[in-house]
Amino acid sequence: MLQIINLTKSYNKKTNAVDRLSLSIKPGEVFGFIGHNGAGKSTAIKCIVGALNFEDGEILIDGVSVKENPIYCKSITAYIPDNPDIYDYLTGIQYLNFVGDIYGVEASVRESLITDYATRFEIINDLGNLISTYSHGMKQKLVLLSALIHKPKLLVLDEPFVGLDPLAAHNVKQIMRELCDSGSSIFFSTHVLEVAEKLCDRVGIIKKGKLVAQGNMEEIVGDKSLESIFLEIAKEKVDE
Amino acid sequence: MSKFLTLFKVNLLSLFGLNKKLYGGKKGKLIGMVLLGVLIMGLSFLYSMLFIEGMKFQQAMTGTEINGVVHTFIVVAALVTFIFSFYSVANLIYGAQDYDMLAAMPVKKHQIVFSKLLATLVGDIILTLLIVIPAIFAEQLYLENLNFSIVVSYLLCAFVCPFLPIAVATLVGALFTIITAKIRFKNLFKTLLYLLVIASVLPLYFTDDFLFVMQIVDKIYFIKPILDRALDNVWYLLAFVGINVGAFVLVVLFVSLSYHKVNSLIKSGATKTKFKMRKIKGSSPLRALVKHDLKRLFTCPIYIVNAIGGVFVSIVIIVPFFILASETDGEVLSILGPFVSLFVPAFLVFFTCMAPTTACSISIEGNTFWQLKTLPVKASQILNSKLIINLIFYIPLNIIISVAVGILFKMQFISVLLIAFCGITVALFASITGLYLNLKLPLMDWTNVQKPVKQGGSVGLMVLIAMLLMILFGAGGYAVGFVDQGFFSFLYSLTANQYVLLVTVLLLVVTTVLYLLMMKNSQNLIDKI
Repeated sequence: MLQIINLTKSYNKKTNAVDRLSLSIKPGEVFGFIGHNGAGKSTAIKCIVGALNFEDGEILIDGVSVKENPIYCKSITAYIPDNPDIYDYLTGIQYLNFVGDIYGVEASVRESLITDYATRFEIINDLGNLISTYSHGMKQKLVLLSALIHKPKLLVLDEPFVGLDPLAAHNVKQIMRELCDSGSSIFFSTHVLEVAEKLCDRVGIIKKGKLVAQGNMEEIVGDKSLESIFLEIAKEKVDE
Repeated sequence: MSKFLTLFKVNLLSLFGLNKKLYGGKKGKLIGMVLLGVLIMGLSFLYSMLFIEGMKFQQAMTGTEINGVVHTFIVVAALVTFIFSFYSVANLIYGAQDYDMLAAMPVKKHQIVFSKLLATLVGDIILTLLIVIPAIFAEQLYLENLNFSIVVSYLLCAFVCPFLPIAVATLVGALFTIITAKIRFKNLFKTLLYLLVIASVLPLYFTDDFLFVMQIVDKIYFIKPILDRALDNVWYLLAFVGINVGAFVLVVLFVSLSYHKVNSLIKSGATKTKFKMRKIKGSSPLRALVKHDLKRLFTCPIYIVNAIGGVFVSIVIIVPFFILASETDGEVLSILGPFVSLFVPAFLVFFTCMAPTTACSISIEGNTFWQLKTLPVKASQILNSKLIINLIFYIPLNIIISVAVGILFKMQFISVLLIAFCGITVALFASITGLYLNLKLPLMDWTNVQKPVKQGGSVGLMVLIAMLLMILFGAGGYAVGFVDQGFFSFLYSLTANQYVLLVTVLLLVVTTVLYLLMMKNSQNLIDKI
């Protein structure tokens, strides 16, 4: 579903924020992208979703190049950023309808999905309010909801659990599983190693823009915990 | 460094994106800013020369003495400061994104307010000096009537003249924010209040005798008599300085008193707890984008007043001409018609290019721009939706103005058709140029909506383009009507209709090339932001 081949992105033409990154995700798979602050996770994610241009390499979504056919790639992808900066002058329902119109979601389908997910996320009563009155967690839920109403084949999430209450986090994990069961793939970055350990089919660890480890949980972790692996890598960074 | 100076320094560094230019590897843009300053000075010098020539003409006709050239430019600078800040400066104080951070800091309210307003004032003082200094040069060059003490007085007056407009603008903005803070549709009400203030200029035309724009300006700038006497009387000079600085200090103290209270009111917006899902109607992506942009426009008072404000100001400027025309004999009007149509393009281009919504429609997306970038729509669709918003306002307006001018001056049908066509072309030109400049000079990392709407490079450039084209088209019209010499003989040989057609075709060619260029590189332009 997602194939990244030698992706390289540089901000200053001296150092690469993402350096020859290659990985692939199969349909129905949950892939966790782990790395310390500034490792290049968000940069890689922004390249995947078309928010950032990249110099070298290739990204294919459903076999289609994001450079050659960005519209198709975007139409089957949903992106949830780490900071839910959305149009706070719209009401929740106006925002969802805006996204629905852009993705061409049929009104009746949209209506039932909004009702269903908004009820599960417990924001149904707030949809008539301006987004500017929402808390961080509510905005995060709304962005997540807007991603779900067009049934994406690939869901890309940047730190999706930041700001969510335990119930919402549980709901998100459940929905992520449901999506994968229906054939969609999920690519998400996280610092919550416990979540990655429980939720991911495979993980990739990124350091200074380079993928230093990837594979299924057993291959990466072995008899250790993901936390200890991550700390070992982080320590190597300090030693360097 | 004291807390106030620290705050002032931080605010100053955000002025014109200065810090970003210094530390963001964009030092080349600093040179651009200096060039912009030089351009403003050049334009001011040009306008000063034209003004003096106009006064010389008046002197030759009526025998009146030439004086007050620099005075006039100080008044104009004060008015420009007021226009540019009266609906925006309060946004610095109320509802700013840095409120939570500043409110939690161990600093006094008046230090926050004073540091913010003073930093704004620095920008306005620089702009005023850029306008006034060339006028001083022009006056000395053409009239040779200046000495050292007069120049010092002029500079002192120019230095303090933005204080009062900023103070009044802050006070008006503060009062409107306080009045509307508890209202659910506060943005709409605030917009209406601002438009009401602009419209309140109109009745001034009907007081006493008939008044033209500069007379109206003198009437609004109530301390003009003090300024007039400030040059030869030190007490008047001190009074002028005292009124400006005093008003500013008083307003800072007043606003400081309500700083926390009003910001708290704004932050705690009313919410409904029960939402009922109604039947949803779907629409096309382009329609959804346009709806979204319209929503943005109408929920942001500074943005909408900036857009509609231009329309209002243009009406304010042309109303006296309409009144004058309605009182003039019909035969005279039909003779004047062709001459009037010579200057219609200059007028249309001036107010249409002054503040198109497109000049800041990319910048205003700010940190939400990721959303547009990741939507499955073509970049050209995003840009077209931005263009449509500006055209919704200016195409009908320009047609209405053109037709009204045509009817009033009893023009031929073909002449009316041509100036209406010119109006549509000018609207297209302003929209496309504004958007293209904004794509090239976006200002995305703002904490206050005032910055993209009023301080963006693209916004400033559009004002300059408006002024340059007005001079160019106005001079062209003058040459067609009155100058049968040398190079200008070609223009003199044209009829009014031919001249309007020539200007329109030229603009249309530039507009088409720019549009095609923008659409061809649309994805690239958006990706670079």
